[in-house]
Amino acid sequence: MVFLLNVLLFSAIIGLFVYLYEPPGMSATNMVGPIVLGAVFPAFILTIVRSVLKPIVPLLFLVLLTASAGLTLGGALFLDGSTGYGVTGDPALRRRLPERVILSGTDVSIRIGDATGVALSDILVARHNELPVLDHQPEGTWNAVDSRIVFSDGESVSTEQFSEILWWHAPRTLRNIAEDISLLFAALAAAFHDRMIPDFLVIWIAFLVALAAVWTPARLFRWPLLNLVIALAYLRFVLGVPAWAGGLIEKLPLISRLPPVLVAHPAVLIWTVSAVLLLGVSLFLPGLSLWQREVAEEGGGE
Amino acid sequence: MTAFFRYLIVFLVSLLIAAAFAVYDGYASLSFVTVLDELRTVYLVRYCLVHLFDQIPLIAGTAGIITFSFAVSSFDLGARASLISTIKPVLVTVLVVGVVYGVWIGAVGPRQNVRLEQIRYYSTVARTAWIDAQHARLMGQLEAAQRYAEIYLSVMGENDEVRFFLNDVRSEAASRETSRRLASYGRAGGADHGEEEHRFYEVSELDVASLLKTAKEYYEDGKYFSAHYFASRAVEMSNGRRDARALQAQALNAIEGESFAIKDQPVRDLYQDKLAAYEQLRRGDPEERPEALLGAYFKFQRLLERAPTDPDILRFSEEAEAKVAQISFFVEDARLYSGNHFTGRNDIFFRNRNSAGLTEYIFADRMVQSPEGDFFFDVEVYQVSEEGVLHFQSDFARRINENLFFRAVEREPLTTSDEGRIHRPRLIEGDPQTEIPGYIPLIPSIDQIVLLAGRHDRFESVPLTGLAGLSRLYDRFGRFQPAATMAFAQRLLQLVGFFIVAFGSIAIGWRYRSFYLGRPPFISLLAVPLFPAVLWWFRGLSSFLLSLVIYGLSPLLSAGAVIGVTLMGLFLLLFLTVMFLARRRVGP
Repeated sequence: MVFLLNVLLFSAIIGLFVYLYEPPGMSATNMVGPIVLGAVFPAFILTIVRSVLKPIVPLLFLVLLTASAGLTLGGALFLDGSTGYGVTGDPALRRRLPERVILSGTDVSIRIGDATGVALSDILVARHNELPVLDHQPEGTWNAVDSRIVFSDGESVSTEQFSEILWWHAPRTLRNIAEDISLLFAALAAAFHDRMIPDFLVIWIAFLVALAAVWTPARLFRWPLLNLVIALAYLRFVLGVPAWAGGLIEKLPLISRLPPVLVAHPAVLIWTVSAVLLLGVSLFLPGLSLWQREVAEEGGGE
Repeated sequence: MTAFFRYLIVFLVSLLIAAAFAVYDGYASLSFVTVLDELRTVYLVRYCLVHLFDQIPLIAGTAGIITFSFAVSSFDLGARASLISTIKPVLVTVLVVGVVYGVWIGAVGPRQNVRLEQIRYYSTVARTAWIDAQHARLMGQLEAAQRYAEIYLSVMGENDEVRFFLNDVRSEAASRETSRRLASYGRAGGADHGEEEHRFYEVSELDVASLLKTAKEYYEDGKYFSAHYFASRAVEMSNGRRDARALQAQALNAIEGESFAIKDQPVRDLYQDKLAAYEQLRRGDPEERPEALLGAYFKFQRLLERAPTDPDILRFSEEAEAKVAQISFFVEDARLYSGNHFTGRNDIFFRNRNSAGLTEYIFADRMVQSPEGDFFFDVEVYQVSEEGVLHFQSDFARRINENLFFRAVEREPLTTSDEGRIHRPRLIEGDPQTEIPGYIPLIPSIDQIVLLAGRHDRFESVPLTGLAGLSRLYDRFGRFQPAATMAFAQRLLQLVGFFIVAFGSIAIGWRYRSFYLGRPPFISLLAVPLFPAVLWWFRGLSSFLLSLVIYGLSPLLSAGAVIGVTLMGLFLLLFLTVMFLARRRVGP
């Protein structure tokens, strides 16, 4: 129950973020699935960090928590109803290029007289390194997906350089996380919607097991803050696996002997190996009750 | 050891590490910028201070997390109580550091950024001027060499080597001038009429009575040009006073009479050319007939070559130059500074005039503020009015009073035609029959132009008070107003964010503190540098989230309301942080 509330809370936060940010071509409505997937991670870790100090039966707790995460994710996939996450080129953009003001860039500055959707008109362009600098373009088109403005004479400029709209481009680390969520969700959703049930189950279960293995870093040391940082780093690793697992698997000499499902979904192998390693480490850790006594020795500071 | 001393030690160690990074960064930056040796120490000290203060929130956050998560236990804090009641000295330290940091980023820091820019700028100017001065002397251009050396001294202050060079060049120029005058004295056949006591361009300071008195004195001394000049001014000022008109006519008659009395043909030619130049100067008007003034200036310059000691020519060429400087500027003055770049004064693009019938945009590649005046280089103006588009370009422009002048005049060479010595803006788009104006009104002040130049990093040099009024300025001159609001909000985030980070790090550190009673494992110690890295990441994230809020709210609310909402949000966060800290307790 706590986990589900956490998922709801984080979904709301991420949803608000997406609504405010709304990268070109995306909208909050076609991102329900990825938003829930994104919320599962912090909700999962928050639930573990808060519960690990309480009297619980570890195995039962982990099974229930992982099952809740699995069901939440399954529900999100079912509700999502599409694999539409990502850049769709949707022309119905809420974001607009500012009109009748100067946008300044490194090599080019621009003033757009009128911007109706992607159609632009009465554009004054200042190319800082050319002579003459100022150039009037009667018309242009905003290609939001490529972040470019294409003028009627075929010339174009990138909108990524304009300092006034730099905020349209999130920091690299955030974009990487969003891309990894996108990739992971796309893999799950593709298997789910294409009725490839065995494939879907393998990916789904391997992912959930990798998620459950965060239990080990969450109580690795008698320093909860360090555990939290390591657990977050581990979850970031889990999230990023689909992006690089393919390249790694190809280099393995045993690739021909691997089951086809692992070759098709290389992240499964990495997730499984990491989960097994971490759960193996947990066997060497002090028992939960002893760890709780040590950590709670001073009352947890509350 | 008390919790306070442990906090202080961790804080100071973090500060030292940050200072070491700042010093390294400062030395590394010297490879990319020009800084003269004599300014190097000042530059490095200021650079390190700016970069060190930039990291103060990170230092306070790291100190809070590490001390209260890793270096302090309940035993150290003693009795069972709330955490804040046991760490008052730490909280006072945070408050003091916060106030110092606030003053720094609100007022002192931006000034240091300006000074750093100035040092880089002055170093470039001085180095270029010194090279140019030596080169000009080698080429025999003594006047230019003097001016370059003077620029060096005006920027860098006294320097023995440059002062010696300047004195040397001055005496060389003086001896050359003496030889030239002696040579031309013989050619002109004139006599030296002595030094003139009146500077003609100061004539506007005299009243009608003084003008008439001066005119009479000149008339009685036989200086008819001067008498006529002063009498004419008296006529203009008095709206045709009879005695002034009479003296004016007398002086004119005397000038003409003297012309006929001269028997020697070359002297007579010179006299008549002087008369023609004088009449053109009188006809010239800065507003109505600027071309006549330019013509008179050129004529007197040529006359000065022919008769450098003629007192009338000396007087009126000075007068003509002063008048020309009101309607244009000298290309040579602009060229002195054409190679200079001052960060924050490049890529200037703004909407200048914006009325119902006319919208005007100005782009300038760079602006240089110098002792000679404010110059703009590679300027383009794009006007849209009911008559259509007018787009023109000028290599130089100069701000004179509230106007931007494009018309420029070459002092040299005299051999070129008069028209060739006048630089006018070039038409790029528009009706070829349209006359391009010699100047246009410049609406923003120089200080405002500095704020309208360059990219968003220029805000680092603007104090908090300057940022507060930036939104209005941006709106007025056609810039994107939310960018200015964001710059202000960003500075507020820095101010309030320091306390959120400093208090929050103590609370989070204590909430999730280490429970190693003995020596912690090595891997835990290795993990310590993780925390500043995580804080650094959160700083970038918070800045991005703030921009989402500012740009999200800007279309819905006024700039003032956006700042108000942002401040409320920041204070709410600070309140929640303090509450979170207040809930932390020591002991079971």
